[in-house]
Amino acid sequence: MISESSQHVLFRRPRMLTFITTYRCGAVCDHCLMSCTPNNSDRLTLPQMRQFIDSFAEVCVGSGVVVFTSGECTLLGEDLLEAIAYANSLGLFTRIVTNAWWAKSERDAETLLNELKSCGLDEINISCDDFHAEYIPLENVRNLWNSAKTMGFQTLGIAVCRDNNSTISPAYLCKYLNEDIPLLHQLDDNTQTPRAPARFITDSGITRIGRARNLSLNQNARPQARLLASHCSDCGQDFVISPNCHLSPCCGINAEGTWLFDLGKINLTDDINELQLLLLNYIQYIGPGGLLKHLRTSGGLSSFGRSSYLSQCEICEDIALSKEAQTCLAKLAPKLAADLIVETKFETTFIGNGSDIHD
Amino acid sequence: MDNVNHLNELSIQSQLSILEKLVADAEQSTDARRDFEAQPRAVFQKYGITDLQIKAGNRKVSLYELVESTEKEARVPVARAVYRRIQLAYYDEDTEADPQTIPLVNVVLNANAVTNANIILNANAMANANANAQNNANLKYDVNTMGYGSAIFMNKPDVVELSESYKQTSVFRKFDQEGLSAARQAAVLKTAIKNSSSNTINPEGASNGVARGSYRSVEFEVTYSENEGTLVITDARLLAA
Repeated sequence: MISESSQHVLFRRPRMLTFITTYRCGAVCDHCLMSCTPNNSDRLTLPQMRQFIDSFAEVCVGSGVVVFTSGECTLLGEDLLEAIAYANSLGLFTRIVTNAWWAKSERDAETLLNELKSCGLDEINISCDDFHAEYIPLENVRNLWNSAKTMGFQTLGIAVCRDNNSTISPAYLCKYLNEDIPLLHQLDDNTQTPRAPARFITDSGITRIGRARNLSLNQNARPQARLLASHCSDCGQDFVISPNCHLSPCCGINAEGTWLFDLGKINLTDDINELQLLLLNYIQYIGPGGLLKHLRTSGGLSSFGRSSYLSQCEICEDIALSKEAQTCLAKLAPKLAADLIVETKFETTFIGNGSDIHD
Repeated sequence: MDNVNHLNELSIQSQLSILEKLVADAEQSTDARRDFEAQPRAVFQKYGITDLQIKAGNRKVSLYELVESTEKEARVPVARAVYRRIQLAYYDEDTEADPQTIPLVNVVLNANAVTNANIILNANAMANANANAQNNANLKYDVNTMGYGSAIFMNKPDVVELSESYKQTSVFRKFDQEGLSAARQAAVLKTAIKNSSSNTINPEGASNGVARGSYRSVEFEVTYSENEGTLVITDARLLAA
């Protein structure tokens, strides 16, 4: 059990279990993080999802949430409904992330929404932007939105992803749906109990990872100094399970097959490779920018990575896909560990709990 | 700006750049590292880095003294952490505000912890640290795979158990014929109970109740008990099917 194993420093307060249910998706979006296609048959099975839900129900802290995303999770059909109901019966909240392909009419939308509701589904996120709109008519999004908003789901949100050339924006969708939908950050930045049922739109930039790795964007640059100095508080917080049943601590990139984030075909409570553990903690406490700097300075890879970054996820993917970086960071492990010790020393003292983690 | 004495904005940026170079040099060159570990004050002065007075809680800490107070092996990592912390405090992406706090503390590292052969395991010892309490430098609204929601802020929902007596009922058999698994039935019954306001509280503190609901064309009445976050379905009967 994770809770009984002090050696696990990742996943120590897990609140979320995310299933990347499948790499299959009817849309082939240019910005897809997971590089999904209609013909990819990789997917989680119901027994696999049940097994992870069982473990998660035992180790999650407080109100755990099970997220079904991908890919297009509704392509799992009955297995999705069963998994949602199973999580619900164990006292967990559930969320789906969908592109709304199935909401071809309001009647179609209501049919599946009624089934999802009967399974206890709490939250729905709809992916909608210029890229999805090439494959999924906006009318589907409207059908889903209009049907779902009266059915009492805890959360109903639309995730917009765009650059400066994009047509679909939060304002565009508000006009299209004839509703003044608040941006997520207007809901108290998620730091207070939001209104319920909450309806919102998120407005994200495009991250050049996955299929978007070499995408040409018209997007405002982010201040590099702060980006490179920031930690990733999401890394190692929650469980992510890939379609091939691999465990990962990363919600931002496709971790499967990467040397850094793919923890393998293991259970939630199994041991984790020490180098991965160190680096994942480093990312969580100091950030991927710190690893990048080490690679470029003490690692001797002065030209590693990109000249500028739009997000931390881009840094992580650059490192996670590079065997050269793996070799280099393995050699630098003692230095990185020293950084980490200092950083956590700062932290524990600064927050005033008075405990010295090395005592 | 009272955290950093006698420095204007330009000089802070300049000092940051120099400090970054100092750390990089010390990490790339054995000689530079050895010099810094031996005489940090002299190296700071050689690079032109002012003895920054940095606020730590209610007191101020001298950069020179901070680094000198640590064990030799920890001095480069401490300088790196100082650099990163000042940078985080200084560059606020949203407001571009001046640093509010430069969170430094009087670090007295155990050198053995830094040089120990089990260094990776030692790093793991931070398991008890509170990452979420760290200065929130996380960049928001990057794309992620799991979306957003508010349920996580709600009270933990109930677990549902189907009793053996429920499994003898016509409702169980009907749903079974409809192809609903035990989990699906539990979810349907739970939804009906949560949408009902017919709960009664018994003297032992547990809640008993009867609720009515429907699924597709099946209308039913369910009897249950609720105690400490668990709903036990004890009975049910068909109203219409």
